Amino acid sequence: MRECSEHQACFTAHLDGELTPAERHDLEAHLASCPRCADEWRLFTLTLGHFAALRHTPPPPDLLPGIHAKLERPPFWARLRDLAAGLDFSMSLPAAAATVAVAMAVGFFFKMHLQPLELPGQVAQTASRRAPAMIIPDSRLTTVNGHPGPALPQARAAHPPMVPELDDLHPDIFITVQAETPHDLPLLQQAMEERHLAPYAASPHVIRLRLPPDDLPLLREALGNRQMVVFPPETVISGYPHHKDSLLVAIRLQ
Amino acid sequence: MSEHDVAGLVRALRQGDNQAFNQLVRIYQARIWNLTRTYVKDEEEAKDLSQDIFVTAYRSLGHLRDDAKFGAWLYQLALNHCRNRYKRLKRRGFFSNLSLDDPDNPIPLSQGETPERQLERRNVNEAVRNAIAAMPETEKEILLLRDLQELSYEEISAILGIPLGTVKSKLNRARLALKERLKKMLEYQP
Repeated sequence: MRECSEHQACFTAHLDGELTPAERHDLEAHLASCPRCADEWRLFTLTLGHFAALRHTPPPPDLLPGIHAKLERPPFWARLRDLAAGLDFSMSLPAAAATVAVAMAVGFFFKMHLQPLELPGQVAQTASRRAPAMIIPDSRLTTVNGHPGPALPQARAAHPPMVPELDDLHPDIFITVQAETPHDLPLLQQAMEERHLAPYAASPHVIRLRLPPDDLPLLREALGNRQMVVFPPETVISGYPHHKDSLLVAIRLQ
Repeated sequence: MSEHDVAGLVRALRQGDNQAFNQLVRIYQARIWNLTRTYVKDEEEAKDLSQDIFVTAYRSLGHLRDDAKFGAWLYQLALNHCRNRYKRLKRRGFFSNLSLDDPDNPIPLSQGETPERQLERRNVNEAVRNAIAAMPETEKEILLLRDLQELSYEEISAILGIPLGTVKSKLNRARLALKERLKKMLEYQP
């Protein structure tokens, strides 16, 4: 016994006369005995009956004239080619020279007047990179350019390797001193020794010393009124740094 | 008109006889119009689409190898145009107000409206077109080629490039699906 769905699968073949006599007899017998399938068959034929109405919808009368109108227009690629051919890319020599001159003037103006903007954080970083160029007239250890400097580890990382012989020292404080006389190094060394600091010359231009943070005021005294740049700037904060027992200081004379 | 007559017109067109082209348009315009009208539903779009199909046929006649197969070739061309236009219109939301994309949803009756009144209000042909337009592409095309264009299974198989058995099985599925979509409306028809 076949299921209703199997009979319904034969609807198209039945409608198109593709069933064998036996299959057709089987389907017709089922439709006669199954009201549900009979109703489905009725709806099936009714649905397809609507195609007759669609089939006989006449085309619009202006279809052919419209085709001729479109044929008279050149195809899209040909119109594009014609458009490109119509464009004049040639230019006279004075016009070209004037264009180049204007472009150069505009470029020069932008270069001179429109410097790239820096965000506040970038300003601090830039300042720290340029720290050695900052000469502080006051002998006191102070912040650079009024900006709070970066924390010590970052300061080290950001610090440029200005002195090759200091690369492996990793000083906690790096001071560049403007030398006034050729004998400044021994004088400075002597001033430190007088204050019971223990400096030693790491190279002809560099003094290195280790001291407890409490002795920083003594170091300031020893440096006197010389112009200098201190890195990192936080060095001037009282009690800096809080977490260290001793500080490695590198002083370079230039 | 036989394939032989059509082939003669195509030959004449190849030789520059534009009257032959007009003759070919007159032969096929009703079929192409009904195909496009049912495919994209909108009359203006269908007219523009039908014109584009004939223009393309005229301009690319050199690609037709067998003059006697002009009809099948034209249908292939037409279906390609229909698919592209349908996709473009669908992207633009052209069919978004129909809610017929879900094959499980038959055309709904408006609330509080009797089927008779709805039938009065709505054009039955439009409802059928809407239901067909919302069908999956292959099933829709088989249905249109068989029940609208009255082509044979063999012709449909050649045009769509699918096996004969697939044409038959998909046609039955498409017809049953269309019946389900139109069921509510049809049940109230005398």
